[in-house]
Amino acid sequence: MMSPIEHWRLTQNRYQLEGVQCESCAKVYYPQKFLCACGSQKFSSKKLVGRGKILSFTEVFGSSRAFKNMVPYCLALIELEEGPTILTQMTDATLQELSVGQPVRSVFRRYCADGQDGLIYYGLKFVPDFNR
Amino acid sequence: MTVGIVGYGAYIPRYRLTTEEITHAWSHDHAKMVASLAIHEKAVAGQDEDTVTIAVQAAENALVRAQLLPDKLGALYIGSESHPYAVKPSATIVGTALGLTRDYLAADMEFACKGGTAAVQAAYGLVASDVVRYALAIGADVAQATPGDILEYSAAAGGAACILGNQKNEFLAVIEKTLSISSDTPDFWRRSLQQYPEHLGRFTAEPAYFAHIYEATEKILSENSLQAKDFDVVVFHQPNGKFPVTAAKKLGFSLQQLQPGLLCPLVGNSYSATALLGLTAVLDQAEAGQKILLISYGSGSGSDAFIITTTKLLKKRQQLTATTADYIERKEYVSYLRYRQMYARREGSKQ
Amino acid sequence: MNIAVIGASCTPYGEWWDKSLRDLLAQAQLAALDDAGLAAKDIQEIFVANMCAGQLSGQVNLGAMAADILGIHIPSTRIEGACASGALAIRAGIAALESGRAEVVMVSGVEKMTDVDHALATESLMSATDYETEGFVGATFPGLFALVTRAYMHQFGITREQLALVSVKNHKHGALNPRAHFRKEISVTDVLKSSMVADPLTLLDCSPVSDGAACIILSTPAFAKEIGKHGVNIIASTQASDTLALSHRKEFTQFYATQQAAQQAFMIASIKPSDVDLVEVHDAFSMAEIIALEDLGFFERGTAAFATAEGKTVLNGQLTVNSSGGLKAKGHPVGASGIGQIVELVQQLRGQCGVRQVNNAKIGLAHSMGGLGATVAVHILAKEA
Repeated sequence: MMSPIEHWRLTQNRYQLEGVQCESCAKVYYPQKFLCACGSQKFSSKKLVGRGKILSFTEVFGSSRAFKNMVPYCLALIELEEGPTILTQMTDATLQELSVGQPVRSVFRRYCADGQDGLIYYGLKFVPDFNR
Repeated sequence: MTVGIVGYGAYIPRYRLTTEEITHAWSHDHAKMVASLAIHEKAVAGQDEDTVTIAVQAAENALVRAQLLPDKLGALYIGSESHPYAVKPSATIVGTALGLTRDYLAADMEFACKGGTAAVQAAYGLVASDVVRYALAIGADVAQATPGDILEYSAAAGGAACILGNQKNEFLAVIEKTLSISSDTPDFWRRSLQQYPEHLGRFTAEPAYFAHIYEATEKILSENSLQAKDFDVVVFHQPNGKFPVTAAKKLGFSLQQLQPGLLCPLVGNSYSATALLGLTAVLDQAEAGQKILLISYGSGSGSDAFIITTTKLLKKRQQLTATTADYIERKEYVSYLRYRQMYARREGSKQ
Repeated sequence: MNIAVIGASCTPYGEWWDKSLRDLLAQAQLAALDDAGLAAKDIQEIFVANMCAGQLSGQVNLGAMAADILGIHIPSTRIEGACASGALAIRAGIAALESGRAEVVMVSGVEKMTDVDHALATESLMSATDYETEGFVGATFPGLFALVTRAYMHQFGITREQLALVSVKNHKHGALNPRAHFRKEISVTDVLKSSMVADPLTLLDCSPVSDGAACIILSTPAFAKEIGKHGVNIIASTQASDTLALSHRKEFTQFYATQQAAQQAFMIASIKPSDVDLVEVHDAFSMAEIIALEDLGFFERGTAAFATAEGKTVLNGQLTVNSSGGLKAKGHPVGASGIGQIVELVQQLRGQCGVRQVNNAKIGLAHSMGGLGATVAVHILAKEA
C-alpha cells in the first residue's frame, strides 16, 4: 500500500539515489543507516551516481495490487560503483538481454500509479549501459 | 541582455509503431496513408514512461551539454499537452528528479504543440532581464489520439530541453530574436476531462497551421531584413511529413535547408517537443556561425518564431551525450496491441 | 535443554473456504488438548503465531482469540516473525517454561490466506521484506528468491532439472500425508512446464498459499512424566537474525542466520548433523531447501542439489528431508508452518506416521525462516531413551 506521505519522505532516496556516508570510516550505505559497522552514528548525505553492475536478475509474472497490471517486469540486484547494493526494476530490456556482470545505469521512470485518481509513484529504474 | 542556449538535449523513447501496424489494425490503406502523411513510423512511450520521465531525460542531457550543475538553474518551465496531472506541476517533479534545490521559479505551460517553445520564451524573458542567470525550458509529450483516427498515425512521444543563459562565453547558440503570433482558432482542442483530442480535419491546414507559420515567418524575416536564403537551416513544426515541406516551398526555403530538422517521418509528432527536437537535431550537427530559423505552431492557435545563430563552443559540446540521431536510431518495434497495452497501463485503466 | 512435547496436532492444510481463521485455530487447539489428554483449564499460557491476519482478515489481538476459544483468562500473546512466526512462538513458549512462570504452555499457529485474491496475498507476503526499498520496486517474495536462485545457479552450476527434483521429492512425500494440501505426485517435466512465477522459478517451485492451523503443548519434563505423556523432548531451540533487505547482505546464496542458529543448536544439543535422522526445512521455494540443507550443515556448499538428485534426501534415504511433504506439498499457512513442522517431528519420533514413517527416528531437526533468512529459528527434538 503506497502512501503519498511516505513517498514524499523518501523522495531524495528514490529520485536522487541519495544514501549516506559514514563520517568516520567513509563507508557508503543506501538508503540509510543508523549505526555504522565501525560504531559511528554520524553520517552525511551522499548522492550516488547511478552506475553499477548486475549481480542477479529475474522476471516477475505475478505481483501485488500496485504492480499486477505491469507484469512481466524484470528485477535486478545491482552493485553500485560507490559500494552499496540495491534492488531495482530493470526497464527497456527483456530478460534475454540481461546478464550477470552487465553494466547498468539509472533512469527516472514511473513505478506505479494509485489507480486513476491517486498519486503517481516515480523512482529510479536501471537500463543496460551500452556506453561502458 | 543577450540570451543564448547554453545547453540542449533530446530524448526519444525506444519503442516504434509503424504506419503499417496501424493500417493493419484498422484496415486502412497503407500506401494512401504514407502518401498523404509521409510518416513511416512513430516513437511511442514505454509503459513506465510519461511526459515527466521523458522531460527528465532530455533535461539531463541539456545539463551535460551545458556543463552545469542543476542547482544553478533559476527557473524551470515545461510545456506539454499531456502533463500527468491536471493539477500538480510536472515542473517540480522534474526539478526534484534533476536535483534542483528549492529556490527556483517553476510552472507548467500548455499551448498545444508549441508548449515547448512557449516555455523557451518564458525562460527567455527571465534570462534577458537577468532575473535569473540560467533557465531550463522543456517541451515533452506522450501524445494521444482517438484510436482509428488519422491523428493516431502521427501522435508520438518525445522531449527536448534548452537551458538559456546570459553569459556570452557560455553560448552554444545565440537567440537573436523571437516573436509570436497568437489567435483564437478552433482547429484542434481537448476538453479537460476528455482522453483524446478533437480536430477539424482539413481546417487544421490553411487557416490554422499554414496561416500562422506563414505570418510568423514573414514577420520575423521582414522585421530583421532577412530572406529565406540567409538561413542555413529552417525548422518548422511537423504535424506530419508533408506540411513542413509545403510550408518550406511556399516560403522560399529549399529541401536542403529543411532536411536536418525534419524528423516526423521517422519519429512522428511529439506535440510540444516536435519543434524543439527539430532544433536539437540541427544543433547536433551544426557548424559554428550557422543561422537557424525555428517556427513552431500550436493549435488554438499560435506560432513562435526564433532566429538562432550557432557559436564555436557548440562543436565542443555536441558529442558529450546522446544525440537526437542516437535516439532516432535506437529502436524496438512494437505491435499495435502492445502500444495500446502500454497506454492502458500508463493511464492505470484496466486492460 | 529438555522441554516435553505432550500434545501435537494440526488441521489438514489446504484451501478451506468454509472455515474461518477462528474455526481453524479452534480445531487445532482442541485437537492438541485431546492428544495430550488435558482440559482447557490445564493450560497456563498461550502463544499464538500468525503473520497476515491483520491485513487479510482485519483481525489482530489474536492472543485474546486463542484464549477466548478455550474460554480461559490466562496470558495469551500473538507472536510474529513473518514465515518463522510459528517457530518464534515455540521459543516464546519455551522461555515461559524455562523462567518457571508456567508449567504447561500451548503454542498454536494459524493462517487464513485463501479468502483474498492472489495479488493481495502476494502483497501480504511482501511485507516480510524491506517494504520501502523492495516492496516499492515491485519485488515479490518469489521475485527475491528468484534472484537468489539465479545467483546460486550461476555460482554452482546446477541445472533447472536438478532444482525441480526438490519439488518432485516433496510431492512424493506429500502423497503419503493425509494432512497435505497437495497429495499428487509430480514429475520434473511438470515442474518445468508449470507457469513461470519469477524466472527461473515456476509455479511448482513455489510453496502454495494455504489455510491451516497447528498446535503443540509443551510442559516441564516433570509434568509430562506425571501425566504419562513423556517421550519426545525439545533439546535445543535457537534463533538468529539478518538484514531485512536482501540487498544489504554480503552474500546471496547462503543465509547467515540459518548457519548461526544451526551451529548453536547442535552445540546446545551436543550432537552433530550426522546424528539427525530427519529434517523439516522451510522450503518456501525449491532453492530454499537446497540452501537450507547447506546452511544447516548437512551438505557442503554447492552440493545439496546434487545430493537431492542422487536421492539422498528422500524418505528413509541418507537423511529424510521433509517427510511431511514440506511447505511445497504439505502447504504453507504461514503462522502454522513452524509449528506444523514440530507436529511432524513429534509424530515421527512417536512412530505414528504409518506409510511415511522414518525408520528408527530418534533425532529430528526443524528449520523455520522468515523473510529471506532475516529471521531463522532451529529446533532439535529427541526421542526419550
